[in-house]
Amino acid sequence: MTLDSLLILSAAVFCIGLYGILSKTNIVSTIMSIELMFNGIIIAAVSFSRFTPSALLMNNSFDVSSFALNTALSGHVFGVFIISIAAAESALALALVFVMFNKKSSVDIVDFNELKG
Amino acid sequence: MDMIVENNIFRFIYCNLVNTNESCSDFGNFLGILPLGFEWLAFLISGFLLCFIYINGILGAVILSIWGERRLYGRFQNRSGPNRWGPMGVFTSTADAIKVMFKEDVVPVDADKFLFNLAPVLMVFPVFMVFSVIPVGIGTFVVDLNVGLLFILAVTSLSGLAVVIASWASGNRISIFSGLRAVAVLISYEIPMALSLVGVLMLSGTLSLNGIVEAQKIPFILLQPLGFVVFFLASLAEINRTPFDLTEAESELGAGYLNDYSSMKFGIFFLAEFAATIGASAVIATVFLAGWKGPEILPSHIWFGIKLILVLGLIVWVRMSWPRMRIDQILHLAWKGLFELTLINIIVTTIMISIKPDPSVNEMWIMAIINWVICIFSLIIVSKFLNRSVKDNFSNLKNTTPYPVGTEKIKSSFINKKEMVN
Amino acid sequence: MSGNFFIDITFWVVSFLIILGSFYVVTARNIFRGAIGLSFVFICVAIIFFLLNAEFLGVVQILVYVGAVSVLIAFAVMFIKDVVDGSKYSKYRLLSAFLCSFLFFVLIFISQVTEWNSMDSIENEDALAGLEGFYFEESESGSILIKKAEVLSDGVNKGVFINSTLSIGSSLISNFLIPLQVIGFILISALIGSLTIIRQRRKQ
Repeated sequence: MTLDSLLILSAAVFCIGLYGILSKTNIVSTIMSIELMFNGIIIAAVSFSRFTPSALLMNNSFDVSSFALNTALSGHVFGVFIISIAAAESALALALVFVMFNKKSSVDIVDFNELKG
Repeated sequence: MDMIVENNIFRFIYCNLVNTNESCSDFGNFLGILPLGFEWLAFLISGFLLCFIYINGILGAVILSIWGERRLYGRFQNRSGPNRWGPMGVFTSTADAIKVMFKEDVVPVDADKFLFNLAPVLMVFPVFMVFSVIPVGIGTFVVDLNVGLLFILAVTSLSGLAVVIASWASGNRISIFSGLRAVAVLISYEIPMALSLVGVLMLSGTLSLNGIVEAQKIPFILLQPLGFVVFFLASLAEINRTPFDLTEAESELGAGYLNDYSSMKFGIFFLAEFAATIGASAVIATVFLAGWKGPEILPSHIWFGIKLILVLGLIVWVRMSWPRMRIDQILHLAWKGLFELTLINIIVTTIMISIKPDPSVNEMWIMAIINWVICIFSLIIVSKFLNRSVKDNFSNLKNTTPYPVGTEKIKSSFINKKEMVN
Repeated sequence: MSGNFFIDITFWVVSFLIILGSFYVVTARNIFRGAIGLSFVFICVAIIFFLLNAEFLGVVQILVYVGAVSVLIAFAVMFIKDVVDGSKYSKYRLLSAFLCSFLFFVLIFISQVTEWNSMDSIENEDALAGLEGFYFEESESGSILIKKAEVLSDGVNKGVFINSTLSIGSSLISNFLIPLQVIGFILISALIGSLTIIRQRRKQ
């Protein structure tokens, strides 16, 4: 388990999610692919915080404090933020899906083309 | 290495297997079954044996608890309960288990077979995971995670997924209605359940269950009465017990999402339900009743067992005394009642901790008295508010047409199109 | 850490399962099965977090993603017509596959070309011990001894990677206080917004 392999894993999950968004017409499938992309990003953030030190710790003359040590966990904190944003986003998106289904009894993006003119 | 030092059962097996003197220096005379250089094998074997012992212990406890609960139901209803097989009917649940195993295993035509078979496994898996972090006695646990309490919350939330799968994969409308209700209840009650533990975390300063037990100079039920009440109600809802057991409301939904399950699959759901009851009482006993702590007259394991049985008895008592609630009443209770109670609890605990950051035992007793007074007052006030909102709801309901399940037209989206052709 | 055989094996198996599961999510015709596959991927990602010593993040992943998000998605799937083969491809399928594989190779190229800082380049022993939780010392016979670190008095003495929950908590209320407040604001506006969107007008 090295930084390289983790980055490849995260890139793979991200790109598969992107493919899902671009190639599917169902809105729920799109939401699921967005969640996949989020997961790829979190993997990258956490592996960076585990395998690469922050700039504060690279400075050898720096006095070790809990502040400097906590900066090593910025990736984890970003992960927590991403997860909470993803929860809010999916709740909102699914509420929109319900409304769309009530309006047109379909959740296919192809059916929502009023703005096409 | 920390785990080997603290975990007594693991250490016993490991030190009997391994042949070196390094990590077992103060263990006494050990057998040394494996040759040198096989420490990793000893590590694996002792881990697996530990899990084996734990799971079998849980299964035995479930069998015993089913028998004990049925005896208690009998007492509550002024009858004798199961009393034929074995002394006082101890073997009744064993006989039941054998009967369930030999029934015919039916998979409905409409079912999604893979998911239909997956659901029981997913249902029973989180229940066993809960037990892995609970310390049953001094140094008796599977693993001491430093996020133990959050782990319990996370793992119990997996059962919602199992319910969704079971209800959809059965492929009939009654299961889906039951599943929708169950998931609404499960997701709503996770919020007060998590928030009611915040006060405990602030007092103990750790998420590890061993740390929480050691932090309880006096049991947290005295310092956190509101937290206890909310957590107790929320865990009743999470394990589908009366008064929140509307997923198996027989008069409306038959057996709910278990409608199409038969034979051992049904048996596994049944086992998961009772094991979840024991798990919930074990968590309450650990977090609020000081777990294995007690006067040194009895060993720690027996103290834990006594507290577990007390909470289990309380759950049975509640089941025998309360009627079942409606779905709207249950959700009102979660969002309008318990949620506010947890917020009051968090605010009160924060103020107390900021005044006295490191209280002595005497100061803790004063805090306990204040907390109980606040608990009783806020319960009375919130119950007044809840009562009013329910009345309002009834007046609204008069204008709507009744909506019995099963008579309305079901949208075709609920039914597998492929199988509709017959 | 890098030399542990069991961790490596688990990592390769789990990452293979993640990629397989993600492919299943984006290619499955049956949306409900896709949603269940998605929750499987989430659980596997949580295992990766546990391997990376991020216990808190792994548990939050299971709690929020598996317990809430994927259950919500499965909930929403029941409202869709034609669940069994409802997830159709758009006409840009081949083009998007080409674009995504191109992006994938670009990302791999960048991650290989860039020279990332490595943990070996930290020369301050106290800093390393504060991260990992122990000092390495060579004994007389040549083997490596591990000594527990007691670096700082204010709770970080176990090492931030070993006891990450405490450090995440303290950095959430110090370095990241304003983002935390913003997240709370976003969450409550999402809650109110979704309730407003989904509320049905009462018939008079």
